[in-house]
Amino acid sequence: MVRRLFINLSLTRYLLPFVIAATLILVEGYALGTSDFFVKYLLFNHKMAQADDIKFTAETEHINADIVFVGDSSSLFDVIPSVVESATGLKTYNLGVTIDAFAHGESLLLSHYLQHNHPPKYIVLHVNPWIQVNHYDTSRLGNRDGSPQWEGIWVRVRHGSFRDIAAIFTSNPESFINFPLGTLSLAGQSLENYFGQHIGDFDHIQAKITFDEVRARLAANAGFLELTEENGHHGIPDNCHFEKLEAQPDNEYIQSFRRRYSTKDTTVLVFIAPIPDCDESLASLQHAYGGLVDLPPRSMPPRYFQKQAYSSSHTMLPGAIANSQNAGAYIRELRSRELP
Amino acid sequence: MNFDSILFLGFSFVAVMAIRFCAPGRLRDAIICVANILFILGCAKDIPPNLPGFQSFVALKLSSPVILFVVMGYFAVYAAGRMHSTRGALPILILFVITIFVWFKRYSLISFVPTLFGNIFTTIGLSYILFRILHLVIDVAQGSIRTPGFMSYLSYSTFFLNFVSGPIQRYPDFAEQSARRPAPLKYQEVYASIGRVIVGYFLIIPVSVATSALSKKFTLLFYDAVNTNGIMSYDVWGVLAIAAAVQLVNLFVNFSGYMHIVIGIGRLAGFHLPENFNHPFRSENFLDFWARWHITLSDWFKFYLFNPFLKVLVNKWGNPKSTPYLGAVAFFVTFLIIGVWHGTSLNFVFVGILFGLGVSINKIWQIEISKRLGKNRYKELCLRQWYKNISRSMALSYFSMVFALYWLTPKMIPHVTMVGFIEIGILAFLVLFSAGALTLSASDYIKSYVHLIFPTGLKKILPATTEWSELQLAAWTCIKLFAIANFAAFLSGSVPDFIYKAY
Repeated sequence: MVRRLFINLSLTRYLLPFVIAATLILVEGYALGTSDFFVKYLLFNHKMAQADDIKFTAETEHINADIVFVGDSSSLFDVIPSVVESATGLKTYNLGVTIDAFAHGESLLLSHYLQHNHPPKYIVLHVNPWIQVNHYDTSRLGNRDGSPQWEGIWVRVRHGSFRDIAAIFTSNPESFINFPLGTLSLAGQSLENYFGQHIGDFDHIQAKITFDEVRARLAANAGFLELTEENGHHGIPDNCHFEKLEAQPDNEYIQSFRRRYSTKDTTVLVFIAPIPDCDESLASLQHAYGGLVDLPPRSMPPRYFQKQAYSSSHTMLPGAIANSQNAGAYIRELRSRELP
Repeated sequence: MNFDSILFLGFSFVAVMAIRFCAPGRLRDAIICVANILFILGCAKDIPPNLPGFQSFVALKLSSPVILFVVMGYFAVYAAGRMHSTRGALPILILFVITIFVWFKRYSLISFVPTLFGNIFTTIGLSYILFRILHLVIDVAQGSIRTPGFMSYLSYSTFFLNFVSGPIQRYPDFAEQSARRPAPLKYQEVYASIGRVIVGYFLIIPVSVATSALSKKFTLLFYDAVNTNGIMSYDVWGVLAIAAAVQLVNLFVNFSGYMHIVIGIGRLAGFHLPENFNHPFRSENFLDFWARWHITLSDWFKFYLFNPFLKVLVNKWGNPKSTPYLGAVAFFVTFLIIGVWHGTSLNFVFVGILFGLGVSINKIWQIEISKRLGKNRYKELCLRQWYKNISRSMALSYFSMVFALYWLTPKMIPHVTMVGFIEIGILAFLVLFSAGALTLSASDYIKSYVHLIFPTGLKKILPATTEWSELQLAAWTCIKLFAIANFAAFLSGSVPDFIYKAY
């Protein structure tokens, strides 16, 4: 028995090539993921991640906006700073990123912005109404213990301190392996896309777009990224139907966000993104968010939305304009009440 | 549990270590059984949609046809062992097993019969379990092997390495290997087996991704060409011919890759699974093709259908003149059933008829031509390169075009009638056959020039390889693993599913 065990244990030496190869692939994934080369040349099928990276860098320095919108992709795609600006007369910037980058990099993102800019008059948290409902998003704001998606780890690894990185891997050990593999997988998808091989199941949102194009669009639109029709977004049909769901707003997170960023110079506002009017949940959402947020969700025509999904249906340009006008009108009214 | 998943590799590693560690006997059988059950549940768990509930119970429910079939199969094997006479009772047992299989597999011809398992369940592996059960029932009834114990039966009939799509191993081989203490592994064997697994992954990841993308592209091009140009167009025949050739290569790459993986892992565990391919693209005719393609399937049918059926025919109508033609009839019936076995719809009956026609016409040609030329001149003819090229191209083109019935979707070309469909098929076959024969001849021509330049052959020019040390082999394995891991990571999400899983 002991001899057999010994013989079997001696077989484990054959694992060495596997261990070395696995280690090398992890090192490769990390090296690639943290490099500028990856962002510029191997991530062009994921414009949201490109936008994430830009917003954590010097591109958001010396902007000195009066109103800063921050939040998940509903902020990135649904808020047009120029529209808000024309409604309020205040310089506006959109600091929206992907949900995971926001959930796991919120303090990094805002501390970087606040360090390199004048304190804004308003910080507006703009989020999708469903991101805090358990079965629709594993990486919702209120659940930072949930396993983060790739973007969440990536912004920490690329822009965080050693402590930030250690913290996320300590709380999510599986991400230590998932992240480098995810990096290589995204690079592979980008290459396939680049060579025109639509082999994998790409989401329309991941249409080919270069880093410089994303940077130019963000710079021209003060951080807003438009969902364009050439990416396959034509609006959802008027006869769409979303069944009523019960909302569970994360009261604690919203209060904590207000506490952390409210100062004598800065007012924190919380806006909830609009939903299509074929969604039967409007009343329950308005009830759930009533009194908790400054601007509860409202409904808009389905054709304003790009995807028939609860948690990731962003507005297209007409919807984004309407939403921004609504947000601007709210802030203008607020200012008119505040000003003597 | 996909073969390209880390889960499968981890599972295989643990299973191999456990199997090697245990001395032959009940404990080892029990370990193999546990590994088999976990593998079946793992396969069932991959089936969409994700049903609510505790996932292990869901997987158990989904795989209940497989489990029930295995249990019923044992009753049949046990009953076969109890029989005093094989006459009468054996056909009933075989019929019982086949009926249960057809019912569980939901053949469309009997779709009116209610199912036991609701609408969502898996029948992955069922077809290959059928072969193992029938083999046991027949051999036990005929007294060639003794009735196996339940544990031994379970570990054989559901062995995780050949559960999904073979290779089909005989019980005596499996039992002998299972009862034998595995010899201590030499490092050369270990790295050779790992190398085989790596070759398998190389085929199912980068190569299969490329061939699958190409086959999808040419298939779509074909639909576009038919819908734009109609059926009487060179473009249509040409594109279909290319699509059919690429689909065949894709099937081979995908299937043989899987075989390399399971055979490699099997060797590490001390099981020598039989080979399933022997250079099928070097086949000299359609009969030879089937002796090189999915060999264990052909062998099984040869032993349990072709030989007994031919014996019956010869006993009834045999004489020196008719016996060779009776062989052609037996071939037709055997390959008709091979075609029907591949799927549950009427389409597969056509496939079977075409396979049957292919082999029987090939057989009749051999009989007739050797009659006319005489055996010696026929042998000489077979050795001629131009004859080899023509018959090889014909065999491969024919198989490619019959295989097109598996992947072509008539809904995509709704205006094409059945007659039009046959016309396109025949014309595409002619294009593919001519192109194939010309290509083979051209390659011979080039080879003859290479031979003029390097009369000793290229192999003798290269330095002779010496035996590698363990460290060298480990380093080389490490490099290959790193390359495969890169392919796997870069192409994750694009790796096509194992094609033969569906059969």
